[in-house]
Amino acid sequence: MSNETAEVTHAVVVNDEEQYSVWWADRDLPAGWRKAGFEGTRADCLAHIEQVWSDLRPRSLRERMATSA
Amino acid sequence: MNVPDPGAGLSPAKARLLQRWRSGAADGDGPGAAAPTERPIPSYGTGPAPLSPAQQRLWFLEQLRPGSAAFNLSHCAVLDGRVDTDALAGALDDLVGRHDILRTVIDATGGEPRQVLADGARPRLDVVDLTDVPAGDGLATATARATGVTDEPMNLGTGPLARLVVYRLADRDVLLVVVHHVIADGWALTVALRDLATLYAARVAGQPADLAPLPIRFADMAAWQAGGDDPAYDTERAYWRDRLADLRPPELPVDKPRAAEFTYAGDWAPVEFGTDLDAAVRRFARETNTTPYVVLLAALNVVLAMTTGQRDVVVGGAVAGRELAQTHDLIGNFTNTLAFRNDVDPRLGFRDLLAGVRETTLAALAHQKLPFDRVVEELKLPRSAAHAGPLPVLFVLQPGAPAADFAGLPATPVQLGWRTARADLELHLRDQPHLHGGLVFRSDLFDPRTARRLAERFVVATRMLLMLPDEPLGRLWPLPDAETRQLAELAAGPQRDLPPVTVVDLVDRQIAGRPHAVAVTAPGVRLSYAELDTRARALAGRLTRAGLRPEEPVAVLLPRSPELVVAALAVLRAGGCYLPLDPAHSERRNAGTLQRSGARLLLTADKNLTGRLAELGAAPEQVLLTDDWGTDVPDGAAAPVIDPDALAYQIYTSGSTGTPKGVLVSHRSAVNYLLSLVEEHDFDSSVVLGAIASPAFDASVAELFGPLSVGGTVHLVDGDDIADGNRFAAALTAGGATVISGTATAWQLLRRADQPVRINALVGGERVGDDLAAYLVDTQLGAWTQYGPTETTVWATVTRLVADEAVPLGHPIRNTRCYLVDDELRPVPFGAVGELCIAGAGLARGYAGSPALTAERFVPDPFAEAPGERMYRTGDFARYRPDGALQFVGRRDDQVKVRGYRIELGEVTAAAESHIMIAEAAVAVRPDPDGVEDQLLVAYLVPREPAIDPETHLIPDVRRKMRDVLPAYMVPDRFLVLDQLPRTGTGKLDVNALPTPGGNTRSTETAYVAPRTPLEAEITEIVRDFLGLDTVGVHDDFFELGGHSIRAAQLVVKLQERYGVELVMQKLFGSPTVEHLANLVQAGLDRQRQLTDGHEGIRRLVGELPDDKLDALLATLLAERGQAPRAS
Repeated sequence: MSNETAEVTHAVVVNDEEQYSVWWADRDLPAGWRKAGFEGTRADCLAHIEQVWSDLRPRSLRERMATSA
Repeated sequence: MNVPDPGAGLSPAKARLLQRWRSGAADGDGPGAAAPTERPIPSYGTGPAPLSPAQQRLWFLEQLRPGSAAFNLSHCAVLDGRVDTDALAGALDDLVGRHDILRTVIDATGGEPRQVLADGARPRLDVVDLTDVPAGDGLATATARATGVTDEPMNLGTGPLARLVVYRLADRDVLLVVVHHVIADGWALTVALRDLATLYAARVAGQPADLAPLPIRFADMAAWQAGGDDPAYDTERAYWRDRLADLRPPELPVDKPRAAEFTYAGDWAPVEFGTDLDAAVRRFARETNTTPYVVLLAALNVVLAMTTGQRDVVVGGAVAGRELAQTHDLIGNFTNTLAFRNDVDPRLGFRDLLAGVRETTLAALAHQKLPFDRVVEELKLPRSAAHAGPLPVLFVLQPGAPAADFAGLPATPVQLGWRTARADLELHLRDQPHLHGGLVFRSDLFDPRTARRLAERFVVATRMLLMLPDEPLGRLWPLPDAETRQLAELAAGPQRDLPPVTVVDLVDRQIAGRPHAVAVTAPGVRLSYAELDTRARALAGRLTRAGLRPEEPVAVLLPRSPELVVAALAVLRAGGCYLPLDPAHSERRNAGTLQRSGARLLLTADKNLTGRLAELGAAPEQVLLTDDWGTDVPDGAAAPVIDPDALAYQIYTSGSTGTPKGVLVSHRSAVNYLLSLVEEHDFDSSVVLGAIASPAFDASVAELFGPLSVGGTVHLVDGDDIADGNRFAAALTAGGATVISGTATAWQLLRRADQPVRINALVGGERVGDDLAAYLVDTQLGAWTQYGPTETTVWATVTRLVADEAVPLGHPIRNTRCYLVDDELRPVPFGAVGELCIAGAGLARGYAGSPALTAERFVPDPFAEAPGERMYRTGDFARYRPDGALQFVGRRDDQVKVRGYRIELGEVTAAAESHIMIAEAAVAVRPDPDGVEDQLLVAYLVPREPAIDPETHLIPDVRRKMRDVLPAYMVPDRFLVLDQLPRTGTGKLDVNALPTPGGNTRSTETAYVAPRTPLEAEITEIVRDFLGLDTVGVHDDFFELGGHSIRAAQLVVKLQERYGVELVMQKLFGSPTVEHLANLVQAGLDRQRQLTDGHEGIRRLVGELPDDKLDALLATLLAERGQAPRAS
């Protein structure tokens, strides 16, 4: 019936490549993802990601490019 | 419905609830179980009597779709021995004597239906001798014959409305009772069998039967019910108005498009609970203080929520309606339909859901008197001729079949199955000896495989829900293992090794291996691989000297030309990120993209561009003009090493938000796609690909590098040539193209060329109609359709088109996975509509400079085998067809709801385009400028030839055609004629640019239009009298004027009598107007005249025939008649 997304608490999640996304705070995380420490509404989480995810490159690439440069 | 043993250990409140429950739910309990309430019912006498509300409903349905067997109730049983047929015939007479409803017919003379006793309608006993059939086949033969009799329509007007048949087998008898629902219900069938058995036993024994006289007749009850509204109606009306506000019927994922009119054609899939699960259901019902019906209803709710993606689930049920004790021993139809509406909250466990379902069920039962038809009329629930009723799903739980004993002969029930469906889906269960029955489905909507899966899902879900009743439903979301496995198999494309190489590596291999092969052709130009290499290296050197950093975007603003290919290869070779812009796009748009991308370097041919871009606020630091690129390959400069995960290109797409966003794609993703071309389309060095896509579209990247990665040739087609079918085809032929990848629009152009091409046809990027697909299959060497968003690298799915098959989305390409999920990213069941999510090697890095948007659309992949993977939410909706093919359903934005129905715009568009005069069409939802409705469905038509006065000719004609093929609720409210459809830069339909219709151009039913023909005038008069109105325009909607369904049926009967023509009530629903009625009557009159003319012709012919010829003719006719199969 009514959309209750606003009530649902989401969490900022991150994988080993330091790619960010959001997931439901009360649901099990898919393998390879961990909580990044921020929880809130979905919109809050996305706003947080906008602030903290400054480099979209996967971590492994970032590290390889740093060594080869 | 079924109830537990009464009373034991209940609180008074519960006992009261139970009593209420039983009075309504007793359909499952059989006679004698209801609470003993009585009230005086006066005798009405044996003359014509009014119909009860339940009878009215049945009579109306008969008018709506005459001649159906959908409302025949039957019971079939094997008798372990020989029945005395004389005694049985006598018992049948006694039964009819006791229940005169059994010799009742419905007489509608004058439009007002009455129930009338008719001696000609006495049911008879037929004895069918099957003793010659070998013993092994006897029962099967009898069952088949019984099925045939059950499926014979009965005539409400003439009767008989009940039949009794004995099939005499070699060793035993089979008994069949069939009775029309208009005079009986499930309870009544039980009464009939019980009384018949008692009367039979008495006849056999030669004694009077010990049956107490009946207190009232059914007709007394019906007349009393019809005499005035029950005082309870007012509170019940208020309850239902509140309860069913904004009701959205379940949107079942049907396999076949809904036709304009429903039929009762049905079939069924077995549902078997087995003894363990049966016991578990009963145990759980006891534990939770409810009934098996409620437990099963709750489980059905969960399955429907999973299947439809809707939490708000409504299921119809039947109540016996025999609250009064006097009714218990009567044959007759007292049933009423109830709507059980529940919210399946995925956060609840099954136990909590069940508590809610129990409450809503009890509340519904407490308001069961108001006839459901009245609820429908008063709440104006969505009504259409395409639906049998406003409740697409029904659930009925019957008690175990009455195992009557015929004077010591044990009778064992035989399941005859279902061949008609009154709703889209009906779950019919019997609760003895253990829960079993069938999921009955409309066979014009569902594939049998889909129904079987649903039935299986229901059983599995029930088991799982009972095992884990406290687990939140959202986590459980139970799917059968087999289904989960099947979904996983369908989700995954072929798994292939993905070598750690770059796009440049792929091209370099060809440069080294085939330096003199032709790499690029364009009008008047031809570049070998070696030449291409030299020029690209020269430019790459210049880019490196310009300080290009790894992954740095280089904007390329060039038309499709050899320079474009050189630029793309050079940018990649220098380690940059290719950012193509299309000179055909507006400069403002290109300037905006340049600005957003922050590109420092721009490659272009246009000297004056810099100044113009600067005016628009875009000022790249360095502009390298094609004239200055040169061919000098710098010596000694080591080419940069490029990481396969580094970016290859960046494509700006305008999303639903309207702001273009830059999709970042790595070499690895691009290489995976390029390698798929070899796998899916046999690309090799002989390929000559006609490049036609806008350079700013990722399909263009594939066009350039697809052939180059296999040693083939890119043939660049000039932009001007693409606008004209003949020039387009000529350009492809001149270049010797062997394959192109085009949008449906491009192929429609080519199709109209005088000299069409015959090549390998790839088509994708927008909806591909079945008609175009059939053309491509017929005329091209091979035809494939492909689908995929830029975010998953060019195309994610592909499939070869096959003749006479609806166009599917295709299967995932190598190293790609496609999932269908609901809003919470859970897998949807097979066949259900879900959002398509794509994962795998093609996944883009994200959106340039937009981490939040990236995080929103690229989400954790909960289905991945490898940890930490992401998937892209496409916003496109799809489902698996019964054959396992992925079928596109619509964009998130295309799933529209108008007047309570979900409408697939694509389906409406296809219907408009099926009109011979229409070249193209689009359909959109727009606000109603007149404010009458919230939203209007608007069709935009592009005629093949300019239409003169479309309002009077073209539009009415298209509307008529669409009414023929679509359900009424899908027929657009407005039609606008356009010269052409607005398109975006990439050639897709620009929905936002479709005009909103102005006010007051409403081409449907609001304006008063006076009758124009004598027939319309007469019918207007009749409708006016009928509804008691002063004015009725020929376009006015009968229902909006206050007519309701029973009145509509009466009107149809009136017209039939007046004009002596057959009218099908259902036809009135699509367009309930005087105009339409007049057309129907006229068509009937015309048909009759033809027939009369035909008879007249034959009469004249016969008159002129010589006698001997006539005799011969008669003899032939009689012989044919003699051979005609007799009705059994």
